[in-house]
Amino acid sequence: MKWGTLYPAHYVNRLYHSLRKHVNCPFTFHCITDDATDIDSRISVLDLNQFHALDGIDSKWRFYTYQKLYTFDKSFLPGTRKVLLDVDVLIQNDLTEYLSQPFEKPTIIYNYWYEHDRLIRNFSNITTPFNSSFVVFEDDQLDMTYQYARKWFDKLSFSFGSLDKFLYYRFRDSFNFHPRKTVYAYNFGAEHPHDMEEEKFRPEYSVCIFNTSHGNGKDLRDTTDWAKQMWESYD
Amino acid sequence: MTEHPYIQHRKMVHRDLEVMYGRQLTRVEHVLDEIDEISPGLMLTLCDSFAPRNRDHHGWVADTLAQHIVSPATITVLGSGVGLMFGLRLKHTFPKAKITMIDYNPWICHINEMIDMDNELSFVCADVVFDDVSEYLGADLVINASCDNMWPMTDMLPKMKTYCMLSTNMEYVATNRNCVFDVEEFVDQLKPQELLYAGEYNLTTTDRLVLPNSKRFMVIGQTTQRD
Repeated sequence: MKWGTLYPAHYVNRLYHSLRKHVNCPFTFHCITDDATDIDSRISVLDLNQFHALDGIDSKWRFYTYQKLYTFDKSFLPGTRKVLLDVDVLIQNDLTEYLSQPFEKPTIIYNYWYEHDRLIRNFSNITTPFNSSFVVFEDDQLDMTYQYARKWFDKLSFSFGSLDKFLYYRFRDSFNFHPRKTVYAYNFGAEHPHDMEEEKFRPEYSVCIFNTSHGNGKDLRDTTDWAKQMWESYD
Repeated sequence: MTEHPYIQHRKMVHRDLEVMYGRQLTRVEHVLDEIDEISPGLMLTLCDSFAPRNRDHHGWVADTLAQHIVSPATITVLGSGVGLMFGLRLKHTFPKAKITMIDYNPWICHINEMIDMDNELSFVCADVVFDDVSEYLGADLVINASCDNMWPMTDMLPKMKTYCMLSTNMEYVATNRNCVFDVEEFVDQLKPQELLYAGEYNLTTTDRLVLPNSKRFMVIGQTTQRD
């Protein structure tokens, strides 16, 4: 999904090219956006404005990245396996086998680099160990979250303020997590407490996320090291 | 050498639990060890819950309630947090009441259960705003200890008979979303059908926690026509 002006089209194109390299089975790459300028013509572009607004969308409280919920609606690409990826992730290794297995539950990133004690101490609207930068789900597995958000959008915005917090605090038992050694965070590390070096290349992992929404760390475009080199190789 | 704050906090909690449960020292140690395993960081929160400031404040709530409510048989405390001491203070004021403490933090609920060694209270893990807690709203008295970090209770009040809503002006607390400036604003938010009491309490800074210019507000009300 790409909305607003934060991420130019080359983020989408490079993600698409990286998946073409690392997913060796047929797939359709959709980009839901409000601006399709410069997006690779092989990408299926879906107009963001065609999606129904959620109830209470004019809530005075912020619901960060609620737009992803549109893809959780069962009427969105029914009957298919869906992989939701943020545009600012780096695909490092082959995902064909992983994505070809059955997913009994929707599967989301658990931030293994997150200090567990911090979660317990701050168990509330200010923290979550969930990250929706890479979610895999079948058909209508996440429709309940979409319907729930439609019903309670205002209260959810007030209480949680972001999609990841909403999913954790209301639906955490409905998810599985990507296994350890699958996803790490460029800006935070991989596993708390023993593997927390920032900006380190971890070649054995398949996906690297940047997770800059908290205002900390480098965005992909600001990197100058291996990440920039890999990202640009997907042109 | 200065002792690590965690060790200090553990010692304070140990001392407080010793006072409460002096006859069960082995169990106190066991409880503290288990809290260590669950979350060392919670020791500070727990430590603060025993602070004299909180005891005074709990006394203010319980004593004010006793002036307006006669012998409730059932009491529900919503958003109880690490409010075991508050629950026990209520039990002291209303000894015949069955008191249920509801909070959405499963670790906190577990720790509260562990510390309540004499099983004087009941604990339920639920989100007051989103889960169905209606069976608990029919209690003779419903207390919400956390209005400052919850969606306004306005919609839920008609389901309650008598209630005591507590909020603060502590906007500097990251989790707070619904603070009020003063008790008038709180009354205005709740719009009780029948107002029994509205007042405020200055939360003083202690050696355990800094609370700049903080006040707690209490509104006790009744619903005459219930849903």
